[in-house]
Amino acid sequence: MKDEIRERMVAILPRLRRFAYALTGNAEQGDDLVQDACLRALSRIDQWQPGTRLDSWMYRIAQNIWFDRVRANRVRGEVVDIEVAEAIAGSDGRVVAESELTLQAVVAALGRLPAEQRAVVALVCVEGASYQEAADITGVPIGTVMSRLARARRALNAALNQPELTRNGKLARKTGS
Amino acid sequence: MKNAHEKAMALVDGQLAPADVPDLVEELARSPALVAELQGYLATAGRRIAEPFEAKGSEPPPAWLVDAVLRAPATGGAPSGPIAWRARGLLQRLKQRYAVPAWSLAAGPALAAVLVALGAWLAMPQPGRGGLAEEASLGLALERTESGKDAQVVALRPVLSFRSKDSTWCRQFELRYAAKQASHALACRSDSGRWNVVAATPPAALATRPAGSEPRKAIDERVTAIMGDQPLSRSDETAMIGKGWSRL
Repeated sequence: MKDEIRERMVAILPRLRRFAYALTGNAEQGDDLVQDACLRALSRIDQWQPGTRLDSWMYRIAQNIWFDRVRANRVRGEVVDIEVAEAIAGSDGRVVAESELTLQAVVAALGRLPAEQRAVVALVCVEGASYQEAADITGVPIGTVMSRLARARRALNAALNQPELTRNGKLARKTGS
Repeated sequence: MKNAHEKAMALVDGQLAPADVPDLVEELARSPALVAELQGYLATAGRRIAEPFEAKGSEPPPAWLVDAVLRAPATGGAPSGPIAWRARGLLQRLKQRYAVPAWSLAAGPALAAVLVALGAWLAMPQPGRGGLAEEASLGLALERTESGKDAQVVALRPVLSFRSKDSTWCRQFELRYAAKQASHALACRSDSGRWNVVAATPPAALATRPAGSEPRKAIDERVTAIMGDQPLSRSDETAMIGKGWSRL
């Protein structure tokens, strides 16, 4: 295989890592996913058609691997990522601090979305893909991409605007004095 | 775009065709509900969703990941990458291919982690083989490791390379774990390119690992016993790695 393709894959890695992080909600799992995607891509490099976008092909591979994992987790039982759990609960037992809220809340809210919706959000909102590109990568019609995105946005909007949560997942209670 | 709802979202995402903008503006003027919907889209648009992940997209990828892309086989051969990843991959393949024997074990879970790492290391890319025989040794790990839990191995650090008295290449190395523990081991390379573990110690706290202390002492003594030549210098070792440890 030409080294040129490997070099192009390396150039794609930062964006692929960002995409995988958005999918998994966990940096370590994201990197695992990226590596698995790269190894699978390399093992099937003859399936990639020169002239088509290598990045879209790799996004699709990463997404499919992640979908497989999500399905496997459903079979084995729900797996809660530590980062997501902490994002929901607050890592030190306090109510989530305002300064941490955006990052943690977004990660947690994304983690609650169905896998298909999370993939579309990651592609369009995080990666800046067009609806058509997202449709090509996910393998669904553009209308489906838009409907998934709209549903995801409604859920995200509701999640990001709800009251802060405590470690136990209960709504923070104002004690007053 | 088919309808005003889709146009509103496309506007937020910067994907609305200019020709559709006037129609959407008219719709918004007529429909407070559409305005509310647009506000909802705006709340999840732009940097608010993307920002938590932006740092990941701007930082350089870790060296091991770059290395995996540059060096991994392109035809479905043995995977390469960090030890922890390889261990997980090996475990998955082992589960799929083997009926793991119910070995009688006296070792603890920590030793299982050692074997995971050793098995992973032994299965490092070697042309023409799949490392399946070595994977069988991972059965011990499967006996002791619960599903969904990872081995605690975080790094493999070679510390010494030398040629043995029977002219095989050997490497002494250290396995480090997330729990601030380390194991010490010695492996030698066969003519077929397979690294066989000659000796390994159970994990111990890092504080007890200095040279000359137990359990490293046992490995040091073994190294002394089989060493034929002086340990390789750094430059010679680099050269040997580059040559794939072929005989001189």
